[in-house]
Amino acid sequence: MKASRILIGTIIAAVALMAASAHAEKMARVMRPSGSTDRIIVKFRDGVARAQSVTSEAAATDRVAQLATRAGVRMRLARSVSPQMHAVRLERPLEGAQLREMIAQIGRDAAVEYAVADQRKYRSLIPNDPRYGTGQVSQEWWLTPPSSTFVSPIDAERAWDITTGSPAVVVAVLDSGVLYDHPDLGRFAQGGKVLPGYDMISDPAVANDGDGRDPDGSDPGDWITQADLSNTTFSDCEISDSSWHGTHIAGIIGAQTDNGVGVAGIGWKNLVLPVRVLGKCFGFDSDIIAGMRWAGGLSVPGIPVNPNPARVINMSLGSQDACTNAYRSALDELKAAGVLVVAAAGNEGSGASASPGNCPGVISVTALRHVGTKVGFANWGTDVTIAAPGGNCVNLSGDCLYPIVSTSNAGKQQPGEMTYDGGLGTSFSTPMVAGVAGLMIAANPTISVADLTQRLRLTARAFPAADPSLLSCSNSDFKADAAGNLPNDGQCNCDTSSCGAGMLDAAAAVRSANNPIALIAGPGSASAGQSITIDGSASVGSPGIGTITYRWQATGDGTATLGATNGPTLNFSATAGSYSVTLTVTDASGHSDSRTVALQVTGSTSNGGGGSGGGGGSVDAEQLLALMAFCLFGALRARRRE
Amino acid sequence: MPEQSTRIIVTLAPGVEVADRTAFERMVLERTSVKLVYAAAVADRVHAFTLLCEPVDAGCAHAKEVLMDSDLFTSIADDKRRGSYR
Repeated sequence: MKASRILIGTIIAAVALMAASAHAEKMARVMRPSGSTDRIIVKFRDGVARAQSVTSEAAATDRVAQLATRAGVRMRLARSVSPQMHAVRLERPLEGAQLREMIAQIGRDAAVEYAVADQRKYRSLIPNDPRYGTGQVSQEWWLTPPSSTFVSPIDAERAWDITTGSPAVVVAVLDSGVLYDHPDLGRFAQGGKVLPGYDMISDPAVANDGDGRDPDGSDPGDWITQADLSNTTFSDCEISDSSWHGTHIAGIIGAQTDNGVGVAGIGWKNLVLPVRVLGKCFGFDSDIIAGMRWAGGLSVPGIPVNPNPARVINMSLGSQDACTNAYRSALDELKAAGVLVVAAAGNEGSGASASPGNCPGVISVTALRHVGTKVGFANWGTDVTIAAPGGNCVNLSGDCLYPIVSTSNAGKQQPGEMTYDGGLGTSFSTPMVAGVAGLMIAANPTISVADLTQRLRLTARAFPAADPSLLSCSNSDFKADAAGNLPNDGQCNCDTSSCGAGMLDAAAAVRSANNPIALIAGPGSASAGQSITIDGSASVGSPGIGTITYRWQATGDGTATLGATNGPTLNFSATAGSYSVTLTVTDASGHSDSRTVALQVTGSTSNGGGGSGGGGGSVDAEQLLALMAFCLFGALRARRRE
Repeated sequence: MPEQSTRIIVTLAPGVEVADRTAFERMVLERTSVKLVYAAAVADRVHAFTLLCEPVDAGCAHAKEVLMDSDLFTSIADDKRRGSYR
């Protein structure tokens, strides 16, 4: 009896502890940084009071005090990060424009190389949705950080560290409609994620809901039976159960997340706007274009204006065709209205994007296997913008190993039990890009369509090293044989002329919404003593802030000589060894981005080379003196601790 | 008489309106002998119609030529079918 009471007490205590822990975790989730801070990191220029800085904390305090006086800012030294870099503390926390102005004010001092906000960092946000999973392979592997096994995932976790979205951001799903009452979606009016939307299908037979256009964006089902095939409208269709395609797409873009139910969506807080344009078997261009216009807040005669215009339109649909003027003119108007359109490259296994994915200004998305090669069914070509996971099975029998799992329904015809299901297709790569674009807009509501497009491309991760057993997708031998079959069942090694700019990187894309992007071009190798130029001039400023400053650094196991380190290019020569060259670009608001490239210098050296302790850059007399002083200071401190 | 149907998207020529769909269909029939049935609005001056054509030829090409020659439209395009990429 006593033992059982102790056991019960222990269980209660454990449960309470777990509950408290869960509560604390939840609180940690909701208590995200507001962007407010009273700390700034200041990097002083090389050669400025170097000797003082390395020999005395008091000197660092004095240096910061002098800077405070010159800049007219009330601040004090918090701690030194390095001899030239100090964390300073303001008298009160600042955020937004005030913080940016303060950083700019400090950064204008001649002795300061740069100043940036000293923001808090947290462990990555991991949602508690059970299918997202932890510990074993997630059913939503495509959202996780990439690894050596899973190369193509988009790393939504680090994007969620920046933003989980905003209810002010609407992403339209032009598709078969959405099941509002799925427990992982829900009506917005009842606390869910899905706005009322519209049914834009004009042909009642195709609409399958008894009428033409109406204000109901829900999905009644799109099944095709044998009997349907006798109707000329559906005579070229295939018998199929209802697809619940739009519901699947909606879940990827914006399933209710961190709710302990089902799956995680990319935009935890972004809203989904369902616009029905696909009915039984297909949808007409006229309804799709009308749906695009309505979704983006443009007029469609006879239809009330959309009260919740979308900033992003997802179209996991199309066919192999040229882009028509009807699409072009709608797209021009949507772009002018600030609406980004993302469309599937298509599943025909063709060397050209489907339409409307091939229309100017549309982001066309092809599909990758989990290892980063193009999945067999996916279209490729120069008109593809970017690539994202599209699901792949690997095995020829049994369960598909790497599908894209999302919200679905078990009904064969009309809606039945709400479920989750796996899918394959560029249909499911597309909403990953649309969802990430939605997060970018949440991070920076004023970002333009041009900036969204550019930044999605520039931040995409490079395709993995080629699998030697596969052809390049852009190889002229990668083409269908007489029977219409592609080599390796359509799987091929992606490059930037076949699968777009690279693999979607959610974290980098969202980060770039408010930051410049550092880009480096240049040789990856050189000979010892050879002077090479490493080019960072392709780097871009933050949206709306074009001007950036440059800072180059190099480390390695040899001795490097660097030219000017504050320009868009770097002249570099070195003794034999392995080097890392880093470019940091900073905008006028103190926002920065860095990129590092590896550089292998080969061959004999003329100046004794080798070097010890890395640290690129030539070492001049002043630096040598400072280094000696720093070592002496370190030795003295070490002795005191003994 | 055999009759073929296809969907088209048209842009109305300046001064042409479809305020009354039935009247518009009748006017087109009278001026061109081509039978159109209103399908849907796309944009302010862009509309979809079902084109019923005879003689039957590939994509109702002859009927489209007749419509373009009528000066009622500045463009006529096929209202193509698109499918989902699942």
